[in-house]
Amino acid sequence: MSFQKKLLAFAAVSALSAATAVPAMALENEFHGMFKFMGFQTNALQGGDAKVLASDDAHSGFFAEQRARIMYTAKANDNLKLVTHFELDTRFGGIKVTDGKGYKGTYNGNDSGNLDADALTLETKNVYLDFNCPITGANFKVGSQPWADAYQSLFLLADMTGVIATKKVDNFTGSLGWFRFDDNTAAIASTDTTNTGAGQYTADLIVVDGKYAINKDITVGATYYNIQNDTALTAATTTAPTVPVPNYELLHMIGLNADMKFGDAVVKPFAAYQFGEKNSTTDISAYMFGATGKVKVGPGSVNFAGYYLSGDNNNTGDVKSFQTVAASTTYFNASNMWLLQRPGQAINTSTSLLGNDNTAKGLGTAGVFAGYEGTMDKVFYNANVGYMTTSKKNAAGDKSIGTEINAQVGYKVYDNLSASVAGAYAFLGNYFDATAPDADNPYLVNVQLSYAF
Amino acid sequence: MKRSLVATLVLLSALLAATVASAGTTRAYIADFAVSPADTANLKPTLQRLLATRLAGEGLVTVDSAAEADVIVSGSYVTLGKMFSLDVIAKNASGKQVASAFEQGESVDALIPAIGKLSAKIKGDILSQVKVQAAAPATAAQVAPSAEIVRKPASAEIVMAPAAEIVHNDAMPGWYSQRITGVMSGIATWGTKDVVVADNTGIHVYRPGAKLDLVTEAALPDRMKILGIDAMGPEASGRVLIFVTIIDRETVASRIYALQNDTLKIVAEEIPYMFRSLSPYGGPKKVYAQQMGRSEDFYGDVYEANIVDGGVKLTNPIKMPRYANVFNFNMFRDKSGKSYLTAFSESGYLLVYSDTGEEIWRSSDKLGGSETYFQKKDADERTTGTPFRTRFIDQRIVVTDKGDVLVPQNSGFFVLGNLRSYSKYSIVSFAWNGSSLEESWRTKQSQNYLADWTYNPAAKELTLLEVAQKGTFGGKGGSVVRVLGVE
Repeated sequence: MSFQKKLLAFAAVSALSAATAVPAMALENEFHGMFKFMGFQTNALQGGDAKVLASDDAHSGFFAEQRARIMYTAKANDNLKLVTHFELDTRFGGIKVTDGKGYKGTYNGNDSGNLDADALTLETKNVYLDFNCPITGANFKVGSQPWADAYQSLFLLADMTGVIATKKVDNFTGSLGWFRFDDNTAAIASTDTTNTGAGQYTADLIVVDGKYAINKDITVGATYYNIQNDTALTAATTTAPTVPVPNYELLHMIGLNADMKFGDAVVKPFAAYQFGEKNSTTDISAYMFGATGKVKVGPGSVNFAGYYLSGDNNNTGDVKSFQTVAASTTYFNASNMWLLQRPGQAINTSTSLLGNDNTAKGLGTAGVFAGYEGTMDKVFYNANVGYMTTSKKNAAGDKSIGTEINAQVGYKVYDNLSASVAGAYAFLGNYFDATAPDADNPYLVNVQLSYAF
Repeated sequence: MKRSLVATLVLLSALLAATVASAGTTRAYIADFAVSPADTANLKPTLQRLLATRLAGEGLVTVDSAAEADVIVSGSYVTLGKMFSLDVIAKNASGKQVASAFEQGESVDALIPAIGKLSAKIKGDILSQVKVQAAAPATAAQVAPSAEIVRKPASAEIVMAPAAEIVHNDAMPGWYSQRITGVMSGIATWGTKDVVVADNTGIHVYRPGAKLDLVTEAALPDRMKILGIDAMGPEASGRVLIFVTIIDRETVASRIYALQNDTLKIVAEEIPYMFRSLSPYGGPKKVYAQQMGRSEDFYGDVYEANIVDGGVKLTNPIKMPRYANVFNFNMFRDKSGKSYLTAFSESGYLLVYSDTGEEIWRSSDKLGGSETYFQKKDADERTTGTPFRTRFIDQRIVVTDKGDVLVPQNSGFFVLGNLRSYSKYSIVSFAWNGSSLEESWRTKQSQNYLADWTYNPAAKELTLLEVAQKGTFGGKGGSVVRVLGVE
C-alpha cells in the first residue's frame, strides 16, 4: 500500500471513529460530495483549460476524465462550523508530463490516471469558518471560500481567501466582504536589509452587496465591487512580479440586479458600470448588461439568456473594454452552451471557443441563448441554441464568433445519480477567418455519470 | 471413488466430533441487547455478535433460538453522559437467574475490551451453575423460555406508553395494510377510517377492510412533485377537502381536491401556497399556509387558510422563529397557559421557542427526518457539482389535547449530505415539564422508513405510512399503512 493510500485509509478510519464517537462529542460531522465521469468524442477539446480548437482538419478523438469532491463540515452547533472542501481530478490514462495542457490537479503528470495510479491529486478547494456572531447576529465566513458576483459570474466566480459578513434585517440582506486573491510579495532574501514583509504587493477585492425582497416574487439588489491591484507596482525593483493579475490597478464596479417572478415567468436582469485606472495614464470606463429567464411552457420550461460586455478596438485613450479578474474565473452558465461558453456541468475540461475570455482580448462580446428543458418521470432533456459575437470588430473587421446547437438526454438512475448523453455542434463565424480561415466546425459528444450528495 | 470415500470419511468424522462435543456442552442463546439511548440502536446486533463469539467454546456453544437453549443470556447497553454500562444476566430454561455481571467504561474505545471481560466473568458462572443444576434431579418439566426474559426491566416499562401494544413491546402491534406498490410520500386522514396517500404519480384514496381497497385516485403530470398532503372535514355534506402541496418546475402550484361520494374533484389549482394541517395546542384541526419566495424557500409568516368561494383566504398570521416553517411547527401550552412554539432545526433537533421567539430548549437526539424534498436550480454548480439545491421537508409535529408533543424519529442505515436513506423509526411522545420536553414513551422501533403520519385524537390512533421497500433501479418499491392505538 502506497503512502497516499495509507494516508487516505488513516483519514477514513479517523473520520469513521469520529463519526461513531458522535454521541459523546458536541461535534457533528457532515459530509457532502460529488463524483462525475465524463467521456468526450470531439474534434475540438484538448482536455484541459486550453481553448476549443478552431483549426483546419481537426482530428476527432475520445478522452475521458473524472472529478471527485469531498466536503467535510465539522459542525459545533447551528451557529458555528468549519467547512473543508477537497477535489481529486483525473484524466483517464493520465496527462503527459510537461504537456502544459492539463488542468490544475491533472497538470504535469500529477494525475492518478497514469499506470498504477498513485499520484498526489488531492487539491484543497475551500477551508473556512462559518459562524453567526452572537452580538450582531451577522453571519461571518472567514478563510478560503467560494464567492460569486451578482452578474451571472461574467465578472468573477472563484475560490478566494477572505472575510465576508452577511446580515439579514427583515427583507434586507446586506454583505460586506474583503478578499485577497493575490500577494506577490517576494520572500525576503537572507541578504535583504529592507525588512519588507508580506502583504506589500497585493490584489484585493472589496464587496458591498445589498438585496431587498420587495415581496415574495421580486428581489432587487445593488452592489459595489472594488479591486485594488498593487501587484505590479514593484516593476522597478528586483522583486518584480512577473504575472500581475488582473491587468489594471484600480477598478470600481457598481451595478444593479433583480430577480423577478411574473406568473409563469422568472426574469433576472442585471447591469453594471466600471471605472478606474488601467495604469497611471489610462482610465477605464466600461459597462455590461444582460438578463436570464425561464418561462413554463408545455411540460417543461423555455430558458433564455443574453448579455453584452462593452469592448474597445482602439488602443488610444481610455479603455472601454469590460474588465474581469481573469478569464479562468468567469462563467455564463445560464447560456447552457457546450462550445460557445464553457458548460456549467464541466469538470476538468472547462473551456470555450474563446478560452473562457468573454472580453475577447478587449473587444467585448455579446451573446443570445435560448433553450427548452423538461423532465418525464426519471428522464430529463434539454435542447439549446446560441449565438455570440464580439462587441467590436477585430483587426480583420469581423465580429461573428459562431452559432451553437446542442441537446442532452439523461436518466435519473437514483435520486442522486444521473446518466446522460449530450451532443453539441458549433458553426464558426467570421471572427476566426483571419487566424483559421479553413477551420472545421467544432463538435463534441459527451457521456456523463453524475453522483452528488 | 477415492475422493468420495475421503469426503465421506471427513464428513463422518466431523459429525462424530460434533456429537461428542455436544455431550458435555451448555447451549446458550444470546438475546437482543436493550440499548439506550435510541440512537445507539445500531449497536444491538454488534453487541449480540461480540458476546456470542466470546462466550462460545470450551464447554459452551451458542444456538440460534431460545427454544433449544439451556441458558438464555440477555443484556443491556446504557450510556449516560460519557459513561457506558454493559449489564448481562443469564437465566436457565425455567427462568431462574444463574449468573449476572456488568462492566462499565468511559468511551466507545473501551467497549470491546469490556465485552471480553464481561464474557469471561459470566461464562465461568454459567458453566459452574449449569453443572450443579445438571447434577441435581429434575424437579419440574422443562418450560419454554418466556418473553419476560428479553423484556425490558419493569422500571423501564413504567415510563413507557400506557397502550398495551407499547408496554408489552409486542411484535407487530397495530393493524397493517397489505403492501401497496410504489413509494408513498404522504398520508392524510379525516377522522373516518379512510386514508389518502400520495406518491410521485398522484393521490390515492383507500378504504381499510380486510385489506386496503382503492376507492378513487387522481393523477398528476410527471413534472409535478407532491411535498405534502392534508385533509379537512368531513363537512356536513360529507365533503372532504384534500390539500395537496405541489411543486411544479421550481414553483409552488398546489391543488385542493374535494372528495365526495368516493369521487375526487379539483376545487382549485395552481395555488401558490404550501399547506399543512395541524391542531395547535391540541385543539381543533386547522389548515395553515405559507408562500415560497424568490429569496427564501419559506417566505414570510404562516397563515390560517380558509376556503372561500373556491379561493384561499389567509388570516391570523403567525411569525415563524428561526428554522420554523409551515411544515415543521406546532404550538403547545404549559400548565399555566403559557404558549410555546416547537419546530425542527435544520439539523433535525426538536426546538422549543418562547412566545417571544427565543429558543429555550433543544433535544439531545435528532428527531423527525424525512426523505421528501424539493430542488431548486440555484446552486453554484461549480462548487457543488450539481445545479440543484435540495431542501428536505420536515416531519409533522402533533400536539395532543393533553399537551403532549408527538414526533417521529427516523433513523437508520445512513444519512449523508443530501443522500438520505432511513430504515427504521419510532414515534416518540414528549411532555413539557416547565423547562424541557421529557420523553414519556415511544413506540417499538419499526424496521421501515416512516414517510408520513397522522394522529386521530378521537380514536387515539396513529396512522403511519411506512415505506417497506425503497424504489430501486427497475423496481417500484412498496409501502404499508399501519394503524396503531396509543392509549
